[in-house]
Amino acid sequence: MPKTKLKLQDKVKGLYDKIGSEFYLCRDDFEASGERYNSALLMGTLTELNRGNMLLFGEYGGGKTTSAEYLQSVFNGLPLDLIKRVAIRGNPQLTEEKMVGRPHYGKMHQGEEDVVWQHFVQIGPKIFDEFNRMPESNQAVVLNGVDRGEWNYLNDFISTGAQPFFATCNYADRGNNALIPPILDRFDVAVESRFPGVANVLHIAQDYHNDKDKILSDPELTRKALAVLNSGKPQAEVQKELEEIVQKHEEGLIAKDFSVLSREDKERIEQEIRAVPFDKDAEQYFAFLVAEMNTSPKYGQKRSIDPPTTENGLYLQASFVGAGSRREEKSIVRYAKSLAWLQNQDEVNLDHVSQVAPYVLWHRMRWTPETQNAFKDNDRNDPLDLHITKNLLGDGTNEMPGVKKRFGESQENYQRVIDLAGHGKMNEALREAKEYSAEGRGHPIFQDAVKDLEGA
Amino acid sequence: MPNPRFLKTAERWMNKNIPEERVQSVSPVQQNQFSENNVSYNFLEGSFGRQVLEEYNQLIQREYQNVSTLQKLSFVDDVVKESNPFAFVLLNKVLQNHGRWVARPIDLEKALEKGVINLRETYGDSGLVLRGKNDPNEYLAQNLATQVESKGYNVGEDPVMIPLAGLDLVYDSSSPHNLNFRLTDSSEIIYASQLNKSNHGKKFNHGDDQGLPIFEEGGSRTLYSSVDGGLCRLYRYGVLGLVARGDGLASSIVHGRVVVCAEGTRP
Repeated sequence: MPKTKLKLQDKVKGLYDKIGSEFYLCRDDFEASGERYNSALLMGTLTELNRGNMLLFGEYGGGKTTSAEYLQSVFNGLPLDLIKRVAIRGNPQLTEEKMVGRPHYGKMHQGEEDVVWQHFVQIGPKIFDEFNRMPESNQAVVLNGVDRGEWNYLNDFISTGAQPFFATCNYADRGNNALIPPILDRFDVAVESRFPGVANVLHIAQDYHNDKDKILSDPELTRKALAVLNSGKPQAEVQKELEEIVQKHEEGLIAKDFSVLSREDKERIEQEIRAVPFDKDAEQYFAFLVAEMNTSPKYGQKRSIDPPTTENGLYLQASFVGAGSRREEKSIVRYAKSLAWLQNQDEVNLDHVSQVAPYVLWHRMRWTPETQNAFKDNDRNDPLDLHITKNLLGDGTNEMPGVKKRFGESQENYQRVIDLAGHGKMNEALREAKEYSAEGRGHPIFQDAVKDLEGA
Repeated sequence: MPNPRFLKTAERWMNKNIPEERVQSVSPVQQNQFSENNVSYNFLEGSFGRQVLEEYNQLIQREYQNVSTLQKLSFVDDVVKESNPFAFVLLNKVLQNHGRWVARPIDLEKALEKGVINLRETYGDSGLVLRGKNDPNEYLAQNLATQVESKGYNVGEDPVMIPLAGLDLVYDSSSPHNLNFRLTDSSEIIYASQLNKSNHGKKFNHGDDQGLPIFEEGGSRTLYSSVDGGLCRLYRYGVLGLVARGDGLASSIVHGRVVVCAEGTRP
């Protein structure tokens, strides 16, 4: 078992290194358990491993689309030219018919109703380029697809199941729109594709014909794949034929000494990732974070329709508008487990959770103006929202301490409540939880524990 | 009935033994709206001082029925003079609209440490010291004690120090001064055993991170705290005195100065 595990991890790390050193040149800006990575490439890799959804922010020409294309091609054995061909590019006129499916006009003239599914929907791994150029009103069209891999049109539907999904967004300008909160919540993680440094840029600039892409491309297979997608065959048949094309492409890659992940590899990786447990510190920090994001002593629970209040202390709930969501908590677990697996660790540790969580949360958080003002003039390497999130999920500052700091302060007391409850001393556990709760001014984890102990 | 999932989690996380020694509850983390870094310290002077005083006087007229206790501040020699805790709480409200605040004890310590402002021959209020619900100032002490206790703090053991910046002021016709103090979200409540009567006359050179004295023999500064109950003012006297026994809350003399703090280097 350990040998197989190592082999799979080495394979994945090999692909990560290959993309980072030959295709998407970048600098490391992320550290977990002593290992350094590029955040965009790492989160992209983890997105591939657990078939998640990722948002890529950045400047024009900053490598957002490029990185997504390489990741989707390399990890899914699809020709790079096919990946590029089936990606959707956002624009204000993008309708459901252009994204998802359209009526079969020929059959419609004969009085029949049938759907012609767009390539974007039929293909498993997806890229939606310039996602925020789509108007807010149309964003709802892709909600279900992004979330569950299920696409509906007329009375028909198509399901590709959970598949890696990448959406790129330019920073705000006159040509794009805000992403609606329910859409943002459906993206597991968000990253910034960053300036890779002068030396890397000098190298990239010389690659003006994208010669390096040839190894990943296969025009003949791409033509065949497009023919399959246009065939109008039932989805199961289309998927089967696409699978054969993937196999052929992978054989070609292997012949060029390019490692690939087989379908079986990916299934085993997913099983192994699921099986990685959290250690106690990691899980308790996660519990503290969930409590701070969802609890409000004043309003019963945190809600987007209630104003944030500092009345009960400056916990995370006082710093942002809105509340936590079950999706984001699942994202933290999946991505922390994936990272622990990639690092060949037996357990998810505190570092895995606390390093991954900011990338899960920063695009979903609506920080209050006061919070933004407290950080906006800081020296920083990250976009402001990510900078704030990293700070407030970590130790924070003197003025605004973070979740990790409070976790350090209150974990011992929480453990007492846990120990008392675990040993069946319910009354004592409840009494101490109430005491630590300090009538709503203590850590929200204690208010939540009181409710659980009282059976509320 | 307790949530069974909570109990299952507890069973998974619990240690074999319950720790015998009880751990003290940590204080809730509270918002601190005051910056501690890159702060400038100045008297309230010049055109800005005049403007703030005008706004202050309008506020007295509008919301505090021209209470005489508040009508102490004057603009003389291009600087705002005089000081009492009521006036400074209200002044702080005006200053907050300009992104500034009345110096707290910790701010005054930092200003002294940096030597950025000459405080000689002046005095200035910075806080209240609540030792009990009795005299001096029984009415205000009882009222403030109730508020402090409602936030989970004890009154009557160690003195409680509350910086003026962060307090609010309300009109109260029952109060001897027609005014009363109100705690706000940003009020700091600090246990201050250093201000016990037993420490009266002790020497110190520096303050701690709350602005309270760190006693040392041979220090050049002196704490005056010969009171053991009620509500007193806390004020700096020149550079060498820290007075935590002033029971005349409304009194004010011409040597009073407000030290105004601002983030950055603005005057």
